[in-house]
Amino acid sequence: MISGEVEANRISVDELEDIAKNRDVALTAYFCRGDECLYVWTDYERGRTEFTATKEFDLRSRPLFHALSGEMDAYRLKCPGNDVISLHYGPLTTGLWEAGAFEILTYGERILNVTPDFGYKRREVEKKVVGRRVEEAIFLIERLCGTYSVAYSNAFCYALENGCPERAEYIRAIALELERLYNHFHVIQRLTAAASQKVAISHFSALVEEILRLNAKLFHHRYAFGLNVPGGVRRNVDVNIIDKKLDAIEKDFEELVNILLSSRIFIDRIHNTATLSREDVLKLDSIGIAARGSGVKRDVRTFDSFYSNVPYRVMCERDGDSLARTVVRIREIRNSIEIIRHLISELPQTALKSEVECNGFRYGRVEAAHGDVFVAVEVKDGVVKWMGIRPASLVNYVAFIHAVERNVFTDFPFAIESFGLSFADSDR
Amino acid sequence: MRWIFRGIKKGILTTKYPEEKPAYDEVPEIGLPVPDKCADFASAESNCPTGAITNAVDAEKCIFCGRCEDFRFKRSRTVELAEVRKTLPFSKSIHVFVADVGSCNACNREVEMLNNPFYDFHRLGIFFTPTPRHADVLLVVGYPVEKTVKALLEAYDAMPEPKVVVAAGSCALSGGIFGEEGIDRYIDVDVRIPGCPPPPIALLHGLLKASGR
Repeated sequence: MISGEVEANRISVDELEDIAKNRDVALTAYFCRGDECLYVWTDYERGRTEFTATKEFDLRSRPLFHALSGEMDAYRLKCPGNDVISLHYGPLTTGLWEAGAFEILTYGERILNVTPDFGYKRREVEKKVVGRRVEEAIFLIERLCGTYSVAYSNAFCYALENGCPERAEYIRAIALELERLYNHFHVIQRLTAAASQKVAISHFSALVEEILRLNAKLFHHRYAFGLNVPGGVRRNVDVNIIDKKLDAIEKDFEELVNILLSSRIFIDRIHNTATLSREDVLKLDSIGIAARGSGVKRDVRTFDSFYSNVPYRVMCERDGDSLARTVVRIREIRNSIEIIRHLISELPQTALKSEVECNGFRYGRVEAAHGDVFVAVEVKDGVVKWMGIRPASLVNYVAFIHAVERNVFTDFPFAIESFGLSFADSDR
Repeated sequence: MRWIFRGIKKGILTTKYPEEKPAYDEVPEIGLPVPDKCADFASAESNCPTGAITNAVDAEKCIFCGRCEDFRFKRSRTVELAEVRKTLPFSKSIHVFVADVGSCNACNREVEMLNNPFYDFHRLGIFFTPTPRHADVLLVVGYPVEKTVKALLEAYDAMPEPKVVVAAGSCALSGGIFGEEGIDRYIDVDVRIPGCPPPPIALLHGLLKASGR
């Protein structure tokens, strides 16, 4: 687990600009807290999370800053010319499956600029959490984004705890990998759906359903809501159920992926679509699948001590297109299955829950299926005083905006699906 | 060609629902909590995050978090909890327009899952439509966010008569964990499907009820 105290160095604005010039550290989060600004930086090479506090200041030299502070207008193309058509797509459409909208600028064929329009799903989780006891707050955190609920609740729990029983940590890791599996399967299913490969859609959505049913049997909930409690987990797992199911899923998946990757029609659609170069990743501070697809090893599991005893490897591709991101996902699926097998074979026999004393200002980080999520929480006597969440989708929307530029209109679904973004996530 | 062989090899996955009761695989203990003989109602009531437990369990408020299991409540296998006030005058083929008004994406995913070969809702004559102009059913999910509710009402006005409104999930029905009020404030709901999120079997049950089956 990656967690710790939030200890911010108070620095001047000039010093902050100096840090921002160093491209080796990635801007992770930005929060306005009272009359000061909290900047979070990550050095993925050395595995360090650092905090700096300044007086109120806009860090314009990093493009990600605008997204973190909620000014999506900054990414809109100014003065695009007279022939440009502006298209507002959303919020209620079947194509996106979610209440979100895109502002698309185009001449008719090529996409000039895309800006996501947030606010259609704003439930204000961070505000509603304040004043609640941590046991109750966790239900809100889980419902920030239902499909990445384990990642968020894990991060929240790790932020609260100073170590939890080993068995609980293993069960959380299993739930997290299962979540990664169904989200990766789902992304591949959406990509095949965008390419109208009807048979492949059915096969891959069947795989998603298999994992959800496995979740239902293990955790009494299809999305593992209610699994995490501060201090441990609520439920034990039945190892035998996972073992049997996992073999069947792996066999199915290998056969399917073999056929899918030999389909020239499908590969043609995702090859060279929405390319994100290595330089773009460093410039835009992208994370997760978007970074790993472009050859930048950004995965918080690499510096997580828990994963040093687990057969975990960082999966990387160089090309940075939709195909590369899909290949990263395919390889991560194989790795996830391997990790789950290892975890269930070495499940330690300890208690499931321990008492936690919730006090202080701490953070937690977890690698979700689409990128790493960051949760910082200030707790006093078990009541949440302040909370800051940095969702992974919000960061990668900036990467998506950049990657989709100059692509043709029909590539739009392939671009958006390959990043695995969610409006519920960024529009918390 | 390889896809076809692969499909034949896989066999039929589709559920027998609604002719038969849902199998254990489809619905394990993910349903509404039911109290044991010696359940501790007072503690469960004070610990319930949404106030769903009073003398009984209110399905519409329950967010299926499992916290009451610590006080001798057990999860049942009942998920077919839909309540109906009005049905469509026809039943053979219904078109559904999905409107998300601020969900956590779990409800959306469950609605999407109706399409997979395990549930295959086309066999029951239920279809999604991308436009409200062709829709008979407005399926609302999520906690009502003002900005999106405007679009929802526009979509409702664009639908031809006869039409029914189906609300799915505790957020849409009662506000769930996010607030006190659901979608009732803005629109009359005809079919109510509880769940957080309602599993596909519960959604199928609700949609079949909406078409009078």
